[in-house]
Amino acid sequence: MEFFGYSFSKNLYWVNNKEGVVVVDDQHQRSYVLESAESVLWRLLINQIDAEAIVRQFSIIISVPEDQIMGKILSIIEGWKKNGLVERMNG
Amino acid sequence: MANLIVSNICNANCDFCFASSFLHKKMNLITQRFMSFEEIQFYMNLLDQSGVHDVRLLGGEPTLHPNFPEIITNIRSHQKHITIFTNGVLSEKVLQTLEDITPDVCSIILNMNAKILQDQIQIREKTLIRLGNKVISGYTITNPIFALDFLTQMIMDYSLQRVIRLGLALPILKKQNAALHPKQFPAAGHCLAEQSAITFQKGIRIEPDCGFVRCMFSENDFSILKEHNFHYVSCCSPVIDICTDGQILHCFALSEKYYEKFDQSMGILEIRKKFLERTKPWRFSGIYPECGTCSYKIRGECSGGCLSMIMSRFNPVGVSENL
Repeated sequence: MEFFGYSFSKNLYWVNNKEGVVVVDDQHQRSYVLESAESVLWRLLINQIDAEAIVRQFSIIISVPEDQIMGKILSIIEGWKKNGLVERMNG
Repeated sequence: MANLIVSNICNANCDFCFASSFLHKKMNLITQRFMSFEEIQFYMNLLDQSGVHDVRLLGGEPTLHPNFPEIITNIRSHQKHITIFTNGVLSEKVLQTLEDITPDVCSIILNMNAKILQDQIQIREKTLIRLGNKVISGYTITNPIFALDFLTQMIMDYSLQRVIRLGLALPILKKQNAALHPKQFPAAGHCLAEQSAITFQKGIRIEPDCGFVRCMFSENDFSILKEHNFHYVSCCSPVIDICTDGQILHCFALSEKYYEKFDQSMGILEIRKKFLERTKPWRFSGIYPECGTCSYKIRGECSGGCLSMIMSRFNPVGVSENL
């Protein structure tokens, strides 16, 4: 599953909890509770709708103008990368 | 405490059986139906070194082991307390062995809703008559509406110990055994509060097994249960299962995912610790979406329920292995 030049790491599992999306990295034995905006983005990405629709929907849901939303998306994804939840695609 | 799975076969056919999937798979993979006497001796020495004093014999049906009396003698020689989980369909040889043991040395937990045949029911009756107050009744809740009056009557009729070890039918991860759904828990909790009046009147204590959650009981039901001497605990903590051919399990419910080949360099307690570390990230959640913010869980009054049930809620992302 590819998005914005990234893909999800292997052996991840997720669930919708009241506090947000919880992700378990089974390989590294860690779990993460995603924040509100992260949870929204995660659900949009998991549903595999096209990139334009993700940007549009995310902008509406978290009330950030479309011209600023890509920066928000990439900063979230960068945070996930640091935690090993996503990997940059090669090439 | 450790479980020795001494028999891979069973003479009952319970829909809710935790062990069935694992044991059936084993039966297809290997020919060894029983843990060998040498293996048992080896594990007893290992348990001695690890300071484990309680040994529980399980199966399948553990009493089907052809050397069952010798196993009991051997474990007793290690000064360990023995607990036997059985369906009560016992041979004369096994009955004689168990008749000679006092309850302080050996507890016998008899699965009272085991699915057994009519002729086996008669054999079990003989067991109840002869073992009487050595027997603790085990009962698994498979339906949110259940009755304990028949069990109460049996406890009185056969002078069994005035204790019911109450379990919930819980799912085996990735398998299809009969299990309660978390949505059914509150109804089961309410029913238990009602039933506890019957058992309390007869001086029978109810002790819950793993998987109970605090929110399955309303405040009113919980206070009724406390009045009726219900010893509420909410836990999901592995008692390591030691199987034939050196396989060690976290528990039967998670036997598809968490197992280890026994390694001489590790003791039983180290293996248990390793399982706890591997399962820790999943324990953050619970069987309901609300568990992460639940005050009972935050205060440690609730574990969040059975780990197999928790893990069943999760969805894999992309290419995933194991689960």
